[in-house]
Amino acid sequence: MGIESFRRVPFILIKIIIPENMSCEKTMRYLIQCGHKQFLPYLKVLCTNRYCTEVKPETKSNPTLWRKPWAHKEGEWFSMFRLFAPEKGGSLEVIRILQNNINFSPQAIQKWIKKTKREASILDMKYIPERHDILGSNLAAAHFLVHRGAAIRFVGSTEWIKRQGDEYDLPNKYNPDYLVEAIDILDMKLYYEGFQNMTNLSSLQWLSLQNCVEVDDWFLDKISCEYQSSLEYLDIGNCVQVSHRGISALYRMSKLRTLKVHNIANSQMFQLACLMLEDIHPQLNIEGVTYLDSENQSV
Amino acid sequence: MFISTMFKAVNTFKCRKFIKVKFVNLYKNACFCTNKSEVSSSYEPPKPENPFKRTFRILGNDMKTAKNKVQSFITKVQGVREVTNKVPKSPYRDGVFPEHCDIAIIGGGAMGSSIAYWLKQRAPNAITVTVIEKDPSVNQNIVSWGQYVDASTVLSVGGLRQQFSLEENIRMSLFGAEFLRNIKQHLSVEGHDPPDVQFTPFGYLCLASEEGAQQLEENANLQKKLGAKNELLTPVKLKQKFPWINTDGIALGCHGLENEGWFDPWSLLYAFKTKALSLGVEYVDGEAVGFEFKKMPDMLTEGVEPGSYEAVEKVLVKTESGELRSIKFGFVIIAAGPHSARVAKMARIGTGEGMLSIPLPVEPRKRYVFCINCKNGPGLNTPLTIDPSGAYFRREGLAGNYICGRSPLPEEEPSVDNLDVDYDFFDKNVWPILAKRVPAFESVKVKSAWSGYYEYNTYDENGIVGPHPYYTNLYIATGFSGHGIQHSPAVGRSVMEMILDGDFETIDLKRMSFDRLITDTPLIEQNIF
Repeated sequence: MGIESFRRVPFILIKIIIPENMSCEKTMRYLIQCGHKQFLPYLKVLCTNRYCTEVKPETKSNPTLWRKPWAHKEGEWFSMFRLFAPEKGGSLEVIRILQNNINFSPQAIQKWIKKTKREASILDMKYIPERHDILGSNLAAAHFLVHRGAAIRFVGSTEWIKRQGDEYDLPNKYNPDYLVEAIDILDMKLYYEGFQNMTNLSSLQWLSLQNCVEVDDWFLDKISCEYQSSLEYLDIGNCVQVSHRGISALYRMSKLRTLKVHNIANSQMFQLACLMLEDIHPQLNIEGVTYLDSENQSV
Repeated sequence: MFISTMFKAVNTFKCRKFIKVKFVNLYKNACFCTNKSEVSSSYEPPKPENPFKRTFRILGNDMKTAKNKVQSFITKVQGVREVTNKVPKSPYRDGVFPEHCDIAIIGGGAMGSSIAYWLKQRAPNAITVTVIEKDPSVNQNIVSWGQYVDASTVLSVGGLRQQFSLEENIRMSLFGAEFLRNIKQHLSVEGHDPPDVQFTPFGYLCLASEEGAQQLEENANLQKKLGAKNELLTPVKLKQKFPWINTDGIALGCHGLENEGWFDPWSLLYAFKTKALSLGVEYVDGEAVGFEFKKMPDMLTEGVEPGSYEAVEKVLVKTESGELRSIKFGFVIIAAGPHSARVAKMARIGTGEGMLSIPLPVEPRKRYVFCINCKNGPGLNTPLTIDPSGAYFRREGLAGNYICGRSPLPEEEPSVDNLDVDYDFFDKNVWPILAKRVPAFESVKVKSAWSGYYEYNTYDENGIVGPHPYYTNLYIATGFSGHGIQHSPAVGRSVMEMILDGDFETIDLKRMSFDRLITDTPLIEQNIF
């Protein structure tokens, strides 16, 4: 009986790194916690709304002396059966599922399907740091976008790289010569969470998010932060969730030359915001907005 | 025969009286115990209702509602439209005042409603939550619902920033931004419009003079490490980006680039409250005026003399009609904003012995907010700018209006008796600084002003979140000194984790607990305005 026999878990291969100076009992608990964490993705069908984003049992600091539970204090006696005692009670998620009446009406099922689809696509767009490590930011963004249906153009070339069926033509290894210059979303549904895959594109000049209905003020906030020193053309036509507040947030983009806002510039506040934006950026030209009583505006 | 029945009757009568006397005495001893301090609750706990009377009253109510339902069904079938309602609608969820609940939250502002929402969304059918809020309506004549008069939430400027110097504050703001971004997924209720907090992503610009430049740079690095995006700007760059600024005396500026701006705190509160109500939270319109305690001589706790422990068991609520009722709870959370110290005193925090001798150092501080109009003021490229002296201003709308204010110096603190605005404060303390920093503000006109209370933590100006060391069932979530609204989703979630999971799972707020007051380890935040 020793640490070694615990390490050889018979049925499932789990990669576990155990720090050196852990006691026997703590090792067992650590193994159980790590195993639980690795099992958890497979048990995803049981867990519904997981609100916790990062649970790190190994980085929890030791509670101060007076906040330690009685059983953990120095000199307190406990039996070996404490290994099997759970630290916390039953999972609340299970209780919630058991107590909820499952609604089988057609509307509820439709809503559930929509919600699950949305969550699945957001999960699909999650930021994967390995992709950026291996390919570099530009190629990683290119792969991410083209695989999902968008089109990319690199610096120094005039052809758009699009997906044909399942194939597309992009290098698989890091190559510093490929810099993304233009992105056209086409019919890909881009969510805010997917934007993190497009960071660090220092030469992005042209961005078209036309017809992407998920774009709202938070999107524009992120765009104006990421590409504030390089973007020259931005097209957000038909993005109906954008309001005048989002447009005003584009004040940070000093190099913006063309902004297209077709079909969303309907309210007076929006037009006023566009006017004021043109005020502070003299080289900016906003298309798609008609100033109804432009002769009455004092600039 | 006659005499024996008389004898029996007299005996039973005496028995009943004897039992009644004993019972009432025991009850009195158990709940309303006299303690050594003079400041005890001046309210007598309400007498317990006779069980028979209660049964018949509830049965009578049930009969009435059943009769009403049958009548309305009949009229619906007959096609007759009945406008009048026979029985007045009760303000309470189940028709009766909630005499007991699992978790009682004192204070129904952003913090209280956020905690109620998070608790109920995690365990909708497992726990009952009751929120006690003392001023829910503005105009007593109009039966409007959910409008708060002097709650700090709705009078707040509603800023959201990550530019703090404490890790916990930065993390809570980041989560606040994420929550607001996904507010439609979190707080939508069927049948209502999806909530819209009108977030204006303009960013924050914190300016620092020579002394503060070093600290500002360290803060900016910490924020970048935790995921916030900002840029440090020298005076030359500041002038380039923001031509309206006057950089005299400024050594460094930090411009927040993402997830910073301001939003409408009233919409957030309304969204929290509507969602909480739809999930089953009970909002009681009343003021908490005292607590009832229960002696537990068998309880052994560290730091308490054995045999002297008294748990807090019920909260006394004075309802709108003046009645005094009590609610028995399993847990109580004090989230009463600026008035938290008063509520805590009712629970003997500050007036007791040992661990109970440390009061809750939260007090109301009045802060003015002025709305000014300037014809040629800074254009769209104006983040919320904070001067090193603490004066701040931001744009409001697109018509040349700006909102500004400043925290007064400690010796100039205005009185907190009312919410009246002192316009001299603007002329003397705010305008000179603004005019110096932004030359265009030389000519401004004050359009309107309002004031609100900060729930000011006099110890170290940071929130107090966590369990109280003496009581096993009392939690505190207050003292955020002016930046509570942006932290309210995160604090709500953390308190929920504390209660339902036993420990903080996502953001570790252990350093912000009440314990730091006892061990005297203040958590100083360098960037408070």
